[in-house]
Amino acid sequence: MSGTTREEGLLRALGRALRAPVPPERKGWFAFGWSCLALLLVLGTTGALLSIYYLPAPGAASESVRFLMREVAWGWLVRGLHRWGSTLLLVFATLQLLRVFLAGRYRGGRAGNWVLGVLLLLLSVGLAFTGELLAWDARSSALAAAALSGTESIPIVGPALAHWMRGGAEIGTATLARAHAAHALILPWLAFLLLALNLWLLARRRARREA
Amino acid sequence: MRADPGEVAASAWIAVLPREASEELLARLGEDLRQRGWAADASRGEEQAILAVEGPRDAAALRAVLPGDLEADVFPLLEAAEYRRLRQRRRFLSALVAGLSLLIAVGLAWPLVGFLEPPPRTILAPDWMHVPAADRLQVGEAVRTQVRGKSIWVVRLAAARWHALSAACTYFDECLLEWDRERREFLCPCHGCAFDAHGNVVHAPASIPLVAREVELREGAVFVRRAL
Repeated sequence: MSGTTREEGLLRALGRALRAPVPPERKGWFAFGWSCLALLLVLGTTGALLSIYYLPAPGAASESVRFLMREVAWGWLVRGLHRWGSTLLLVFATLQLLRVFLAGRYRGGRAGNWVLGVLLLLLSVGLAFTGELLAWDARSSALAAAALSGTESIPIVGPALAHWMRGGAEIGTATLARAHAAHALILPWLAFLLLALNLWLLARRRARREA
Repeated sequence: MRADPGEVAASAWIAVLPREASEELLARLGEDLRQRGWAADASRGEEQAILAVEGPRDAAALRAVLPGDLEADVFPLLEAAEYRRLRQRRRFLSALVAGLSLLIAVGLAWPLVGFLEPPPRTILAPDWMHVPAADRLQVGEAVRTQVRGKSIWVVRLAAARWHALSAACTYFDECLLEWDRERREFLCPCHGCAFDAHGNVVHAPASIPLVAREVELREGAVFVRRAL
């Protein structure tokens, strides 16, 4: 009954949403959002596990990744899940936002969810980018150089922003440390907060509709 | 729907209550129905309140729970056979999803616990590079690899002896040496220089021996020092 839904917690609301019947004509579309949620769970878990073996310092970083892949039991699996999960997340998050956009479902009290969705996609891109840097191999340094020169070309704030991201005048230890902090702590917690807010808005909407 | 409500042993029912039915009454009814082990869901429309109930054997069983003074209409939602079919399908699908989830959880738990187990080789010295291809070499074989962007040869000279030497010819360093297994020498395809397995010159025009790198054997793994 509807009387209890207003006070229920996030987990209960989530369980309710999982059990709720889906309109048959929109069955397939629901997969995108749920896939994003499941992938975020996978990425959080595997990311925490990877941090056990990863060393965020030039000279040690790429060696620790190699060590993880070759010496650590199932290291290849955990890293593979994390890598491919992040790629899939970008795909599903884009499809989800496209669906919302094309169906006009950003209107009518859903504006909050739409804004949060866009911010979450941007955060995912930021996480994918910083994650790519952490391997600290030739690919990473090329990516960092390209991204930083792109940032630098932004009018007025560009140079300061690039300097801030680089952590100094040149790409080096500070850059990697910053990328690591952003990837492992700052951006994930930000994403977690936005996601919780997003789910809370959805649960509240559902509760109001049922009441 | 398909037959008179009294005759069909339907298991899912719709009770249409007058608009006057209060929120508290609906809540209490839902509680009463659930206590009997039935599933109940209430919704309020413009003209009336609707109670959907799963479980009662017949209309009388449902009516017995509703207050006598309430003018409720009771309709069968699904015939018994249809209801059972749908319920079975739902149960089957739920069990399938739960089973597959459990399978995935168990399948992942094993690798994840293994992942936490500290690996046998805990060295993680950035100065030493493990050359896995060198671990598997037969005596007399050599493998070429890269250290800090420079090509080197790692050659296995004896059962427990490996050598690591620069792979660039000292006469003209654009030329990469080839390992000749029969002669146990490094040959240069450009000017015909030759070096022995220790890097000493055995054939001119080169005059400088090859640069050697430190090699260490740790628990069966060959490590080459990155720094010269």
